[in-house]
Amino acid sequence: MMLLGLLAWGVGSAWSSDVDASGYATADLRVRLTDLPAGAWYAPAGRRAGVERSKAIAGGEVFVRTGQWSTTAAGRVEALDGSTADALVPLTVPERVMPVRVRLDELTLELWDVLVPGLDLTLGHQTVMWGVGDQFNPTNTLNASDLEDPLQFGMKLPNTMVRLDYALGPMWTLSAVGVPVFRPAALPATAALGPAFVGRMPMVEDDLRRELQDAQAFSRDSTRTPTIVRSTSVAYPGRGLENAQGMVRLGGSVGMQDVALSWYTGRSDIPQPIANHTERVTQRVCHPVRTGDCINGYLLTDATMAYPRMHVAGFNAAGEINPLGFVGAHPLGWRFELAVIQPEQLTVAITNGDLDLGDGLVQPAGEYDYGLDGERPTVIRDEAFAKWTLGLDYTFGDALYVNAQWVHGMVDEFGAGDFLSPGYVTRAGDADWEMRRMRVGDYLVVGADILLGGPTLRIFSLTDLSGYRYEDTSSGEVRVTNHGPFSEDGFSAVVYPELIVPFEGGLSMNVGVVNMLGRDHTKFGDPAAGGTVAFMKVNHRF
Amino acid sequence: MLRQWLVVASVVGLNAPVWAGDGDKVLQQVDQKANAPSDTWFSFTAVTQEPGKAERTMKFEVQNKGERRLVQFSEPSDMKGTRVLVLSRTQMWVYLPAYRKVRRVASHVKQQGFMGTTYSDEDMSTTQFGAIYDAQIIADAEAEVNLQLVPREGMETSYGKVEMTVRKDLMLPSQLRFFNRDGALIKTEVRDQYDCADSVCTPGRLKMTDHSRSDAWTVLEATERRVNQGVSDGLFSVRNLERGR
Repeated sequence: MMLLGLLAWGVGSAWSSDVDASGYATADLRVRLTDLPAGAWYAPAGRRAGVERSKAIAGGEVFVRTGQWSTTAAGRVEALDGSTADALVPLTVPERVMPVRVRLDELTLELWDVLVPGLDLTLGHQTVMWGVGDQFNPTNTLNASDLEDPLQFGMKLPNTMVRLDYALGPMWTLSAVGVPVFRPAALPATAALGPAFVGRMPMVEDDLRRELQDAQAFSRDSTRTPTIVRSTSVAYPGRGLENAQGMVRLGGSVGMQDVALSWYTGRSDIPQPIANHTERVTQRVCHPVRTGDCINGYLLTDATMAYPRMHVAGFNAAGEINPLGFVGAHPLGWRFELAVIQPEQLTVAITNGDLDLGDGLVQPAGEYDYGLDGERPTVIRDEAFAKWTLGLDYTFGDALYVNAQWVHGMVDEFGAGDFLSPGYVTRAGDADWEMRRMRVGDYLVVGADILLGGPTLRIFSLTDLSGYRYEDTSSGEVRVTNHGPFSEDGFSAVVYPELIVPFEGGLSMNVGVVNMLGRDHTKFGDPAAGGTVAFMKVNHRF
Repeated sequence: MLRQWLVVASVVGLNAPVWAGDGDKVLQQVDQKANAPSDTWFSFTAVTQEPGKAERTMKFEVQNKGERRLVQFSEPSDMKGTRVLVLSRTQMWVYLPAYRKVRRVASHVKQQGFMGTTYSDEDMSTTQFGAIYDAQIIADAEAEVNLQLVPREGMETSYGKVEMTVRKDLMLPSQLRFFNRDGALIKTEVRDQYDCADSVCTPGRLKMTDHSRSDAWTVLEATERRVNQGVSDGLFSVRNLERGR
């Protein structure tokens, strides 16, 4: 009946078509300036300095409007660098010698004033971008994060959705979105280096985690059988309706401030470990130079990850304040985006095959004895936690725009534990020690756009304010040494200067460097975070 | 003599302009004339020239109804799809297609040029001068009358004073001179090539020269216009900024 109504409405309001098209071509060159070492000598996993990415991209969008509906299609074709042909036969396959990637960015059908004036229905492959924060949007949870390209931070992956919007007057909109099938976040290529850091154990229970750190170190040092992660697999939620995601949002203005309330139910797009299985492989391997440095085998670990359920209550507000109005200054822009997240509890199962560790030490096949009264160790507690972004911005004259934000919780941080209610994750560990930090960290983001006549110099910085704590258990007690955010072991930051040069006719060039600073255990010094890369992009829009 | 005749004509209902020493009434008539159509739609080509730089051309469409305004850019390519909604002088939103987000335009941005032109956001959102300024007649010639506008008490505006030259035949401005709070002339806008079809007069060309930026200028040329189309109020909504993209 509803379909018939829609059809009748559509036929009755048909107009002539209005077609609009646009496109772009981009050449994208990235160079890694220094080596990015990760992993021990027997399982090296780093990346070498050199060309990190060299791509040519052609993209475009077509918009067709007919009467009271429109169709939008957007996509791109990327000519990738190098070759995926790794043997003689694949070299005969042109697609592998010269790889190309096709991506559909949008394919939507949007129907306006459906059944009642002001009610719009959008169907198809789409991206919904909500949240007043600048690039850091903890309430924007409908689409999965697109973290593949660090230069496009804040972007989302499109997904097939059903969206309804109802305009309640000029400033208020009530929206509801359903997402039938879950889509995970796309991670940067360097995320694959993460498993090289086997000391980053995810269990919340301190005694158990330290016990496992000791066992891992003992195996490596005493029996020369180190642990390496052989594989990581992900378990997707099923396609049942119980796994569909949904969000409702009411947004509008109160006085001179924009506000929105939202509720999301679905899953985190970043995977968490739920199972760990270890097998022992005997294989004597020696260092190619230090020939006396040998191992007797490996503890090969296969990890399984999953996407925990969560509910997110969101609040957004943005407007202006004028603390310096009395001296004639213009108001400061402010924005606050708050997400209160209720996760489901997630536990991890640790199993192993028969592990003969030598010296009479044998761990029989089966599940590890956690000593937790029959419970499995916790990875995520079912305790609500908050993420937020609080920002201020101001324009000085014609040439300088400054934006500062306090970000509480990055996109990959999940679970309770912050300065309000302490809880930690392990960033590095070994026998008798761990380097830890708050599970949900705090960051200062400062950005500036400086107009230099035609070009714009954009400077972006992101500093980890969380600090780190070194926990020494060698004496049998836990001795904590805190490392502040500006100490040698606690400092971690991104400094990202970029020069944007526009030319005539839609041509522009972007040149810059993404500097990732800090030690390996820190948020941004972590090799899995990407390392320092210089880039040049030339773009023609038409 | 002419003034006396006009006053009499007004009183007897000829609806003729009044400028017998009452600047506010003249300004009220200018506002009424400028906002006479129930709605207007323009397609503009905007050319901006800053000293030492190449000319920059933009194309956009503007839909007006009362003080509400919806602007949609089609050129240059990096601005295509950008939309601006003005509900009042203080209520302005922009849709940024690259981010797929609607943002409220903050006051601190309004002092900058509107999309790189010499028009500020404030210039673009001012449709009723009488709501912001008190007017006083400072010169009265045969063909035009000059008004001096000063901000009403409590009104926030970037200008300390505006001088408006009004064409008596149209009761519409031909020139506006904007002064800062120190009394320095910072901008001059010329409105000409009035198109008076369908009993509605609108300028076909507007040129804003910014004297504080080495006389950089922007010319807006109306390439097409439509009036009294019966546009729905629903068009001027924040939701509508996102429609179609």
